[in-house]
Amino acid sequence: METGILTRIGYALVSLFVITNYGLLLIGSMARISAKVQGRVGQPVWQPYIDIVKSTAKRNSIGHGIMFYLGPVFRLAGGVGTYMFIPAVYGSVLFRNFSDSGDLLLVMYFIFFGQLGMALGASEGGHPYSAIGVSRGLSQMTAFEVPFALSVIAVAIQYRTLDITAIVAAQQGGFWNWTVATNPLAVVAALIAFLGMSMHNPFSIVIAPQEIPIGPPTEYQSNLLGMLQTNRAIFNGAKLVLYMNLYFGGATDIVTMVVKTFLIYFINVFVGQAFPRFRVDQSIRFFLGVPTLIGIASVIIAAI
Amino acid sequence: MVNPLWLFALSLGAAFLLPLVDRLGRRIALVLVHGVTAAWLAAGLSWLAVLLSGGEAAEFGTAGFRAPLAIVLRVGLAEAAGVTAIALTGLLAAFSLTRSLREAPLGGAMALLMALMGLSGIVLTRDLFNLFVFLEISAIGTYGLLGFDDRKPALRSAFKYMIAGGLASSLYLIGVIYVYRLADTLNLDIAAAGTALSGPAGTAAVFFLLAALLVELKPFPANGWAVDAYETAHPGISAILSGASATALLLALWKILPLLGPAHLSLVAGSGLATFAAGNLVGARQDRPLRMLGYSSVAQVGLVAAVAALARLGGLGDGGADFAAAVAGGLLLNHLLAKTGLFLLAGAVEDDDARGRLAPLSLAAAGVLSAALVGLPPFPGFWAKWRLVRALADSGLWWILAIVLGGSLLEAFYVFRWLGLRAKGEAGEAPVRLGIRSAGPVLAALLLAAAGALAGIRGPVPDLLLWAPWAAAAILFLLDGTPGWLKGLLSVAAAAAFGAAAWDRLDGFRQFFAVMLLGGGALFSIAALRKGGPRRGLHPLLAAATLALGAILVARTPLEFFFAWETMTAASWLLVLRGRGGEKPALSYIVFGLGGAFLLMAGLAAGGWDGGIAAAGWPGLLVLVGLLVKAGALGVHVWLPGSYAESDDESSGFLSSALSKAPIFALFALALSLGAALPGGPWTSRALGWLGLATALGGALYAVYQEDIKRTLAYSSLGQIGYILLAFAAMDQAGWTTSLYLALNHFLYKSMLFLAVAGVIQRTGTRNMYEMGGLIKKMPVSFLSVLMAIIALSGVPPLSGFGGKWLLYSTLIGKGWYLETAVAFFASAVAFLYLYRLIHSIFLGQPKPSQANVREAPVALVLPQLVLMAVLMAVSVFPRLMLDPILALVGDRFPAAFVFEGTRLRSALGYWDGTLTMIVTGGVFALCLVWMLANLHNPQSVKQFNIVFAAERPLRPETTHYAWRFFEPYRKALGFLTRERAERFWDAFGTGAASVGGALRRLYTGNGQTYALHVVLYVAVLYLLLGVL
Amino acid sequence: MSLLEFVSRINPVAASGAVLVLVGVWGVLARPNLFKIAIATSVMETGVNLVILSTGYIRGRTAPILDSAVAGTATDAAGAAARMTDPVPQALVLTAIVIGLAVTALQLSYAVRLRAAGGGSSIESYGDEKW
Repeated sequence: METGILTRIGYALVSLFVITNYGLLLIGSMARISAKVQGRVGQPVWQPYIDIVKSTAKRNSIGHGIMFYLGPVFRLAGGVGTYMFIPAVYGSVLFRNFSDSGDLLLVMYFIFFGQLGMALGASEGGHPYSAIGVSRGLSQMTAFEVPFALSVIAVAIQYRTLDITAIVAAQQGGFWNWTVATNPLAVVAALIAFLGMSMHNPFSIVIAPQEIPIGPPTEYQSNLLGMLQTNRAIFNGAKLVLYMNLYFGGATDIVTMVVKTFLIYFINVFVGQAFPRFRVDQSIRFFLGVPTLIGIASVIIAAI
Repeated sequence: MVNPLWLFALSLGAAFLLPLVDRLGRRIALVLVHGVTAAWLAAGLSWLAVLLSGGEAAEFGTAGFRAPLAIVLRVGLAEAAGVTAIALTGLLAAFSLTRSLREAPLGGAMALLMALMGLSGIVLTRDLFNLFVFLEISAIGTYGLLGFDDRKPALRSAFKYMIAGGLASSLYLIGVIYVYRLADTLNLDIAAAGTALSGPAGTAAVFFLLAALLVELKPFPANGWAVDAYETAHPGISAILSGASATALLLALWKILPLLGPAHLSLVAGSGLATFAAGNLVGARQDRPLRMLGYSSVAQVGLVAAVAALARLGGLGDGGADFAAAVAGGLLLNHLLAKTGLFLLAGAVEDDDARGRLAPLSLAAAGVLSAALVGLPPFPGFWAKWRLVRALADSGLWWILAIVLGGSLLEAFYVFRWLGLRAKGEAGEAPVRLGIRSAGPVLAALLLAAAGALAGIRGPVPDLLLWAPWAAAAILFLLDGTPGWLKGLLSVAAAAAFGAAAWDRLDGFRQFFAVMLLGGGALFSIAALRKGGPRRGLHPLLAAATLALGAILVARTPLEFFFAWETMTAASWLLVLRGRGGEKPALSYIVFGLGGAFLLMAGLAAGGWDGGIAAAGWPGLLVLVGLLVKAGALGVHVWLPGSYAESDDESSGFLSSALSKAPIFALFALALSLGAALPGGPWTSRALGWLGLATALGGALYAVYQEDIKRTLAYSSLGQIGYILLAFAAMDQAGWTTSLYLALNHFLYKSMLFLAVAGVIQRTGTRNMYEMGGLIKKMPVSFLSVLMAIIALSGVPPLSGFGGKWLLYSTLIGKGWYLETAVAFFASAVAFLYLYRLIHSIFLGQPKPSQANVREAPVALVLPQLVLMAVLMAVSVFPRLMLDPILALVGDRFPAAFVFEGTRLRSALGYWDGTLTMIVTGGVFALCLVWMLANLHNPQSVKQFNIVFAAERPLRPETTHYAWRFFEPYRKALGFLTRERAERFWDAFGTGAASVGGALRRLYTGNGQTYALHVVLYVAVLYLLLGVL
Repeated sequence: MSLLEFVSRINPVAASGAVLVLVGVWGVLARPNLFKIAIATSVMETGVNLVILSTGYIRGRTAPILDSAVAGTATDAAGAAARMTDPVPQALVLTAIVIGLAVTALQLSYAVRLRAAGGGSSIESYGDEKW
């Protein structure tokens, strides 16, 4: 099983390449779907590629300091790193990544790596909206973390492990072994948390995409923005893969992975198109209300 | 031995000669007075010398006869000590009275001689009627002294005093005559030997004697006349009343104890305890220092009387007179010296109507005297109180124990409140210089220190290492005028030397904590060099606190432990008090510190430490609760934020990163003494777990809303201690490993944070985060330090903090504490809020023009940070550096839950490879960095406000730097969780106690007749109670 | 026992002493005038002194002087003691009187000084120190 270190790095790069492209296409197609729902034509599916190439090619004109430059680096490293710590495809050496660095807890905490660095970088820009966006984002994060943590605990109890590969292994053998079938409440809690995590409606106040340029990306342009856009694809992919592994039986091949993650992501879009938006304090109370109760119920079910 | 009769003759002769001598000049007359008092002192000391070197107690007859035919004077150990104490107090008081005596009529000097002679006579005589005569002589002398310098208020008080004195002397006479009638003798020893007094009539007769003495001892509520006198008399007179007079009367009581039956003794004990409690309750309400000291005096005397009676009642201590003499004597000596010094000091301040802070030497004396009065180590009161508490616990007299400790706590509250006021003074007032008048208090303080040290070293704490904190403090205080760097280096050397001397005596656990406690002390001693100048007081206290932490590790017996513990509490309290706005926080620090310490003391005294059966039960729980108060568990945390915020910046860091580990160590030690279990069993550990969790969550939530950077860090510390408690409570290998890992980590990153923040505050001159901004360019090293620290604190990989989170969640899930895990997740997430805010508001965002010239922090702060950063990095890359020793420490007490396989740590649930995580993260980060740099096309650095801002052009950083009330939506959503309930509870508690005190003090109407009525009713009630008993 | 018998058993000296003590206590407690309080204290002490005297007085015995009236046979010291009253209380009373005098004098002088300094003559006007 032991693979040479260079081989592993090569595999990881391939895996990364795949997830990047997949993530970009996913974003493009979802934007297209949203447009259709709203009765517009929408952008082409490959628009994200165009955006990145354009951004990267542009000349930087503005810099606010070292941390400002490091922000996107942290962000992208966070996205890539998160993906690197998740085994993307069960049983596949190619997509095993560096998941032997740590278990589920590592992944959960590494998610913060990019967010924290990004927040710091944006802060150095000195734009008040960056800080406001971070303040909202962090506030909301603490809240959706609770149902998510509860559902992870339920999974950990159920499978007696925090090792993602082992969790996927335990779900093999058909739909009825998936977490979504064995402990649906945990999945419900986690999916609600996922809505918050993705900052889609109704939890999009953090980035407030319609009204104002807010949140960390405000001050970034050119290649720095390109990095952020790339990260969005990878990070989304990483989170989707994580969810798939934890709740939907994982994937034994790349096609299954694509189908499953696409469907999971679709939930986001579906809800986002159907609901209006919460204020931050409302969303905090929301997450700590029913979803948390569902989470607790799932833990109790798992513990029994 | 010198025949005491000569001394009486000397006093009387001098008093009669005074008018003649006065013709030669008042100065010479006063020399005569001082000389006679000194002769008494010399005689007392010579008796002590003879008796202590094995001499027998001697009796001196009068007129060539012995008892029962004549009055007999006895010189035993108690008498010799009493005479010495009286003469000493008298001499100290006489010196403070010199100026007044010179200006007032001669009667004052004569009254002083007579009063002191009368008091000595009370001590020496064995004859009941002679006792009456001396009582009256001293009373008349006292009346004269009260009014000698024509202070109007003192005259009023003197009149009230006389009314009560008249009632008492009538009572005494009635008692004495019936004792004579029944026992046919006036000699105490003969009367006590017979049985004539045991019948009902005898009981009543003795009761009158006793009642008179009790009234003279100023019991509650029949003591208004005395308190008025304490308040209004010349401070020297108050010192005599409180010190010498109380000594004499207590010895008189001690003398007649053999005459008393159990019912009498119960009365004495009950009255004494009631006086102790009420005196302190009322004392807490006083804002006039002398009256406050007066209430404290009556309270102390009540306690001594109660102890003497309880010891005689039997069942207390070893039941012997030795115990009573040691405890009551210790308390009395302590009270005598402390109160004499305090009256002289406070009186001098009041006479000047001064409002500034005290000059250093007087302040040091005031500190020593107050600490001694409250019973802090190493003063005599500490040793006495320990034996008392131990004996009370042994006898199961819990309610008395509660009264004693509760009263002491109240006393600490008001005495230290006064001290805080004197240490700080009112703003804009010049320091108070007392000149020669501080000689008396200083001498009293020195005597207290000497007596206490002697009692300790030759008694229960012979280990000199435990005295190192005091030695270090004393030496550094003497060197306080020298430059700070010298004292700083000496402090570091002291910590190092202590470590070297103690290292071999420490087991693994203690060595582990020694690194944090002593190392932390040394670290912050270096940090204290950040400012030039001598920085008076800081280094001695820091060194003392550091060594006290070391002493806690070295301690072997419960008493040694408690000694070191209170030393640590006292030193750190003074550190807090030294801070700019430290007065109020220091008060709550010491009150809660002592409250915790007293619980600890009760638990230790009841055997909660020795690992016996007792320790597993509630004595152990008392210890546990006491430690939790000191650790700042939610609910009893109210002392913590203010203290950390208001003390000097290096002290805050020391308190938070080093000293907060002391209760953690003690918890481990407690559990280890019980064979790695908690007193009370699994339920305790579950409750402790939830308490820790509540602390973690509460600390994080409170931290979110703070504008003050140090308060943020203070609450953050609170939260981190919560995690440590939570993990500790798990009581398995995983939990303990986690707890120790978290503790060491917390030490690392909280030190970095406090050091960095100290630099920031020093450079910007503010603690409000919203008044800062954009400091990253000015203070890059501090920024990096804070950055690493918050990454570590928040638990984001790849730094070592994640290890803590991984260990914690693995522990909790493995233990089956699922809901706890979820709450811990929540609390950890909340930590992100304040951490981001911290670094953003200070270092990022818009810089303020006023801070354009801010520089990087001084080397003394930067250097330690660099070292800590390197250490943090090392343990992050190689977690085994930290975890191997910890796993070895936890050892095989529990089944192993965590095992290393190479660099990978395995739990029952998962795995974590810190090294690989670091490599992957580093690699990915480098990759992204290269991409970023490769595509960086000649960017332009822009001016401050060059930002994309919707159609507006910001001009002022104040309106653009988003920092104030950063998480307002969060408060809107979850503010109900942080409504400072504990603060309100303790406030209400304090208000309640104050109301009781307020109600009690309404008894003291100021009307002499009401006071007389109190005396009469007091005696009547006592008589009725005697019938019941 | 009959009332008469009870009354006859009362020591008249002790009884009058007790009455004086009560009068004195009442005076101390109820008369606000400084001088009256001083005098009341004195009355109380006088009462106490009478009580002391009463204990030494034994009916049917003679003065405690060793002369022919008690001695009978000069060698019988114990017998002599049994025939005389107890001298000790008398000695005690003497001392007590002296002390009482001193205290009363001092008390009166303080009252005078208080009045001379412009204070009232009622003790109620000297209650500034309280609580």
